[in-house]
Amino acid sequence: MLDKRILERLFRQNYSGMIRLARTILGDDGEAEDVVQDVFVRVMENCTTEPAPAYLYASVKYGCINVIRQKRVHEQVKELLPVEVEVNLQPVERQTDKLDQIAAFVDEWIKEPHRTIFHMRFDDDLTVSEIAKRMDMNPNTTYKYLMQCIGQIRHFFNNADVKL
Amino acid sequence: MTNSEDNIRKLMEMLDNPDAYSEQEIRDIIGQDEDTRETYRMMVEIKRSSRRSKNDAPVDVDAAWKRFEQTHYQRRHGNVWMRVAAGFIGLLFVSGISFAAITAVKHHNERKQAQEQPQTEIVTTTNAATVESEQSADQPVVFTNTQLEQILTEIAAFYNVKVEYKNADVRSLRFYYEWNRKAGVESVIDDLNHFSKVNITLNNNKITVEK
Repeated sequence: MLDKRILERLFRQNYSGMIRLARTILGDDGEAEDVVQDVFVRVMENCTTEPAPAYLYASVKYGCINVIRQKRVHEQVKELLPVEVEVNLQPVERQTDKLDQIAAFVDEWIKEPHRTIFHMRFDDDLTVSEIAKRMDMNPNTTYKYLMQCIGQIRHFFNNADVKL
Repeated sequence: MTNSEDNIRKLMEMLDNPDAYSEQEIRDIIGQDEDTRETYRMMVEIKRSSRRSKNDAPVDVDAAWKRFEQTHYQRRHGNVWMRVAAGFIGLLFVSGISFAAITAVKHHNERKQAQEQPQTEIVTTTNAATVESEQSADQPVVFTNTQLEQILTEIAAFYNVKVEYKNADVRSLRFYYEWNRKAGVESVIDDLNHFSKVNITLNNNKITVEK
C-alpha cells in the first residue's frame, strides 16, 4: 500500500489535469470524478512506489473507456461519445493538443454565420432545426453550413482520429 | 446528392433525434460507409474539444482530496479499528467460554473458587455490543447477527428511501454488517450485495430485496 503522504502529493499535483481529461472525454462531472478517484484508490492499494504521471493519465483514459463501453448506444450518441471505442496508443498529451488545435482552428478560420451555427451545435447541443429557428434560417441551409464547418475541420486535420 | 452525402444526412438526422431509432439502426447509420464513420468520429472529437474549452475553470483540489481521504482512509481505518475491536471481543468471548469450562471442572472440587470471572467477561461482551449500537454519527453502526429487515429499516430511514421485499423469508435472514453512515446509499447497497443470499437493488428511491 502506498504511503499516504506520497499519495496526497501525487493527488495534489495531478488531480486537476486528470479530472479535466476525464471531463473532456466523458462530459459528465460526476462520472469524471468517479473515474479519477478510482485511479487513486488503485494506486493507494496496489502501488508500493510512486507511479509516473503518464501512468495516472493513461489510467484515467482507460477508466473513461470502460464508462463509455457500459453506456447504451442511445446515450453514447446523445452525448457524442464514441460508439465503437478503439484504443489510441498515442500519448494522452498529443491527443489533447489536437483538441486545442481544433478549438484554435475554429476561432481563426471558421467565419460567420458558420461559426455561430457550429457553437450552437457543439457547445449548446442544439439540433439543426433548433439552430435554424434561432438563426431564422432554412433548416437545409443550416445543415449545409454545419456540414461545411465539419468538412473544413476534417480537411485541415486530414483524418479525424478519435480513438481513445 | 451522392450516396455518401445522403448517408451523412441520415447521420445528422439520427443525431438530432436518436430516440426515434433502434440500437441496431443507430449502429447501421454510423457504420454505413467510411465517410459517415469519419464524420461521426470528427464530431466526437469536436465535442471533446468543446468540452475541453469549457473546462478550464480552477479545480478545488483541496476539497477533492478531503472527499477522497474521508471516503477511503477513514473508512479503512474505521474497519481496522472495528476488526481489532471484534477480535478483542471474540477473544474475551472465547476466553470466557474456556474459563467457564475450566471452572466447571473445578467446580466439582472447589465450589468456592469458581465465581465471578466468566460472568464478568460475558457482561463485558454484552456491554461492548450495546456500545456499538450507541456510537456517534461519525462511527460505523455495527449490526451483529441482526435480521435484514431491521438493518434495512434503519438504513432506509436514514437515507429516506423505501424498502420492498420480493420474498418474505429474506426479511429474517441474519447478517453481520458494519454500516458507515458517511457512505452514500448506493455504496451501502453495493456492500450488502456481497451477501450471497440476497440481491438488493436501488431504483427511484426504493430498495428492492429478493433472493
